[in-house]
Amino acid sequence: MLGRLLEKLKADPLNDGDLQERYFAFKELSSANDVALRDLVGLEGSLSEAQSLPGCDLHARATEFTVQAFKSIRNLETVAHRPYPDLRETLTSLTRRMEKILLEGSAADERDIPVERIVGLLAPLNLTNPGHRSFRPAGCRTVHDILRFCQEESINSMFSRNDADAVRKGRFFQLGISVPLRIFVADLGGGLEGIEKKRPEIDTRNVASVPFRALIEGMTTEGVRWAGHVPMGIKSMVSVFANTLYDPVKHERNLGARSYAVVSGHYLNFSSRLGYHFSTLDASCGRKTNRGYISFRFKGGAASPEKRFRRAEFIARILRAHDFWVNQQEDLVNANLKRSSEQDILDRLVMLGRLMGCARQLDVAMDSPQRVNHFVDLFLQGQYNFFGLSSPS
Amino acid sequence: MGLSNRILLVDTEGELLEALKRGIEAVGFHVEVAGDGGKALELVELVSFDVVILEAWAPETGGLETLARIKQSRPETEVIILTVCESADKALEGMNGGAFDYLLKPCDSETLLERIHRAQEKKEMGE
Repeated sequence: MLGRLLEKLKADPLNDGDLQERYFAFKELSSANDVALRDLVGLEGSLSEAQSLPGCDLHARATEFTVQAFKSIRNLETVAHRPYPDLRETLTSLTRRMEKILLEGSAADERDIPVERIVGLLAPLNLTNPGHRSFRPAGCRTVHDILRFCQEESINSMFSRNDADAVRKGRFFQLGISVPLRIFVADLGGGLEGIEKKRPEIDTRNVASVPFRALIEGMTTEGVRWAGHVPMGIKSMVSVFANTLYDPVKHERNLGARSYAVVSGHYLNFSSRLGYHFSTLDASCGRKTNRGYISFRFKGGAASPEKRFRRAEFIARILRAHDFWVNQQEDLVNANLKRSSEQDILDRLVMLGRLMGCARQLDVAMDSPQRVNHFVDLFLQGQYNFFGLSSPS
Repeated sequence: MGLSNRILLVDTEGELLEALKRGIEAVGFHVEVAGDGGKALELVELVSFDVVILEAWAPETGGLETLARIKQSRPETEVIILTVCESADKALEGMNGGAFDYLLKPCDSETLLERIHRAQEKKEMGE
């Protein structure tokens, strides 16, 4: 009898050990993605400055990039509970082509290595639209495509599937909160308290996770507007509408889509799809050592590319003002804070909660570069109600 | 079984940087050193290490076999390859062989320690 029960638990894709293992793989995948993107930005920066790189340097960077892609595939397989042979095959094939080019170059003259051919196998991103039929393993033509596919697929696998099952089996709880988000919370241990097993809903009093409490404090700060009308001109409205029609994925994602928090006592991972943008936050803090960190990523928007860029710039400037290392590429912001004390981490999580709310619909209001300065000044002065309207309850 | 906080550093070229060993010990790990793959395997049979660092690793010098035999003997032990071998092909061979990570030298101690902690976290979860 006991043996059967254990077997059943093992086979249950939502048993706690399995969730922990999948979540570890998800974290590793996100981390590999961040490292790879940072390396890619560095590589492009070096090339734009010097127009070339020593062959050995290029070789090392290509290898590091390849390793991150391999880790992404392996971790995706753990998260999704299935193999991805096409991805592995594509990565092997790209690697062989790179090695061939590099060996030919070094056999002749290191200076003759066609850098653009190597970078062409690594850097271009062809998979830009997750809703397009080309967004699949067979559509990956570069290492960057593989990384992008793994990231998107892992999010879908980790969070979108089995939600109903997870809630029913008590793995996820829906958080009642005074912001218009549907937040589902999974506890890895010590992150929730006072739970009534049969009730799938919890409220903020049940949250024991120290970093999640800080984020909630920021999200629910008076004046931070999560919903409501953002003043915009007719051009902005046309732009948002046109952009929505242009991209079927954006069209499908309604405002207030699901957000997920995976927590423990001193750990938080928060993934949120809000309207037309996506953000992830990974944070850990501890009392004993200064080993706390925050990793934050933000991308997307419904407005025109210039306006999305300006909102990303707004976010990047706020984060830099709070000591984050920040990299911005178009409407993508990657930011990190490392080796910080618990209090420093918590202060910044409160700030991030406010920032996520304030930035939510700001892209449509970014009519000019001056607007970026204006909103940055307001935020840094602690004035979060940018449009002078009361926050809807 | 739990974590032992033991690290095995396999230095096949005899050029082990003392600083590397000291750096790992400074954060509370107990580090043992093996001069070649054979000695590493003997130690792995005897002691449960959390992480094995294969330093100066190269497939052509038996690195893949050492990796395979460590994983066969102690599947729960995570292996980090630390090498000057820049070939992406070889890196994939190592990762396909079950390595937790593949780090190119020079590698800063912060990165190495972060990867050791993550490898430990993974090992702990598998137990």
